[in-house]
Amino acid sequence: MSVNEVKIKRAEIPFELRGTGPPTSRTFVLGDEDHTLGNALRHVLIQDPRVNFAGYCVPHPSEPVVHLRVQTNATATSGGVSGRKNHGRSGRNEEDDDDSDEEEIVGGLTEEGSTSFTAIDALKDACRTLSQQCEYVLEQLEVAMPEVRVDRERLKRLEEDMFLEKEKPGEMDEEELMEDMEE
Amino acid sequence: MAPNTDTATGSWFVTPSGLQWHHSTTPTPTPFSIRPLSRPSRDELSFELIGVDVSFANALRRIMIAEVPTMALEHVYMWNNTSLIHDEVLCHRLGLVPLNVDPRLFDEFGLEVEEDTGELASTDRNTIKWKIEGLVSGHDVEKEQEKRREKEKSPKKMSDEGEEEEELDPSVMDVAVADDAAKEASNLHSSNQVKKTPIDSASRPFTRHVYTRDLLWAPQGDQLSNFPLHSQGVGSGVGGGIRPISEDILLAKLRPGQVIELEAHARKGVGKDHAKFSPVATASYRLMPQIEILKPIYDDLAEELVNWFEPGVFTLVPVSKEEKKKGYKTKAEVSNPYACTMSRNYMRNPILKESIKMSRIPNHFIFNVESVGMMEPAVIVAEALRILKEKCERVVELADGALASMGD
Repeated sequence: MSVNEVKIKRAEIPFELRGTGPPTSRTFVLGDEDHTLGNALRHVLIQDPRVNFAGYCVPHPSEPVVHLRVQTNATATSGGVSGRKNHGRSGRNEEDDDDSDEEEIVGGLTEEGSTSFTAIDALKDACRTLSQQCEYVLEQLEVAMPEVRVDRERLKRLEEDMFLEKEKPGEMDEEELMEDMEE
Repeated sequence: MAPNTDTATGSWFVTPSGLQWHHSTTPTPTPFSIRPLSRPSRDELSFELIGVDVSFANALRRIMIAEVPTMALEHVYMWNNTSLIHDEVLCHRLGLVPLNVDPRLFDEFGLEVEEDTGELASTDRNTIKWKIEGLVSGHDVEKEQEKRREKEKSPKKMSDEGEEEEELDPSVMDVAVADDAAKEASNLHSSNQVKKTPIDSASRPFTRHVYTRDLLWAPQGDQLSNFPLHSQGVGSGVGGGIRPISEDILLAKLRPGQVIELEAHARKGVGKDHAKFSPVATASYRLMPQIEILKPIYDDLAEELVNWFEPGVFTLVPVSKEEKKKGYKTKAEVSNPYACTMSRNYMRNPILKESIKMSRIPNHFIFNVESVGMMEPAVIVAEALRILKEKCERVVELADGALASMGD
């Protein structure tokens, strides 16, 4: 068991922020990632009008590390109402060609509405946008190909069955006993 | 890299802090749509995805190939292998055997640790056990043993028990039996009456082919109740239980006296780790071709054009009245650009080369997903989307964690 055991090599640092100076410019070091996420995030970041610069690189193909550089517009704000913000919002909604009306700029990111839009805010926004995009595509996929929904429901039922069966033997506290009795 | 400036979506403004990009009102971007195109079989799916960026489509493709997990044989305990196939080669072949089990019903290995030894725990929730045992190479060998016994001992002792014992313990077979078998074989082959069977045929006497159907599932713990032996449907195998996807994959060939006895454990893994874990035979996408007819093409030239392209791309249509007056009869029109593979054969004809312009439509992808069989191709696409979503959420969590630790 021990001699030939191959351990999957993980990156050393899962996430790191690099960069001194104003928080509107940062380099993010993402571990265990590659072009899959790097390129997708970079594209979403670029679509954001509050972002001045966005780029990614894979420093060495042998290491699962991605560097993502984000520089935001220093005068843009993450919350509150400003002319630029509204303008940015409308521009952004029209630009995102993938998720139609599900796009929402997370206005309430920070409690202080007047702080500038930092690089890390831009990154989080981009991740949320990409995540919403995936959800949207999933919904449309289920509409276009109903076997996906059938499979999802079947899996949920199977997992529930297996989970409940697993609960029966072993330690049972009163709650679980009641559950079993109800079944 | 500056923001996307190449599609005239705004303009540069000079401000005290430098150049600023203002996004202006943009023309309506390509609306999103996803539509299946064809399903040649249960395991193949062709669909089109319009309105997403190439980075998203590529991310989907990469995740389908490398990061959607499946179950495959990982650890093999070789108890006895006297075949011609080396241990490691046989283990490699076993690993590549696709298993017909839904990987989402199993946990990832390496999460639980055994309490006493501190090693990673192999439970019925993360491991599937398989065995190859009890193989006897060549039923003629058994007959051989029977004959030998009949000659040496009295007929009374030829009981069923004795036969079974010999069957169950082929590893104890001594060299004499193998010698006898070989002699018989050579006698058989040297006699003029018997036709020589070629070496490679499955019916060659004394050769036992080991197929994937000899790889037997050994259910552990709850597995038998979760994967009942006679269930139907995807992920439960023909005849139920957990089985390999095809039962006639040849693993090894055994000659008399050769034995394979092994136990193998299947675990969950991703294609990034080893290609055996990839759920797709392949997943690929191409951009939608766009064929523009610059100068109208008539009659013979049109017929030639139709033949240069894949069938269905171009069709011959009757000409309009004005064109009829000029003497033309038929015209070529684009009818099914999906079938085009951009072979550019038409360029062999210099006239056609000038009259047709071919390009690609951006943000319009035609995906082709071929599943190995443990999950339906549409389900693999859905899983890839979920995994991409998880990656994004993981980055948000990490970023929040970093913020919290910095005290920003």
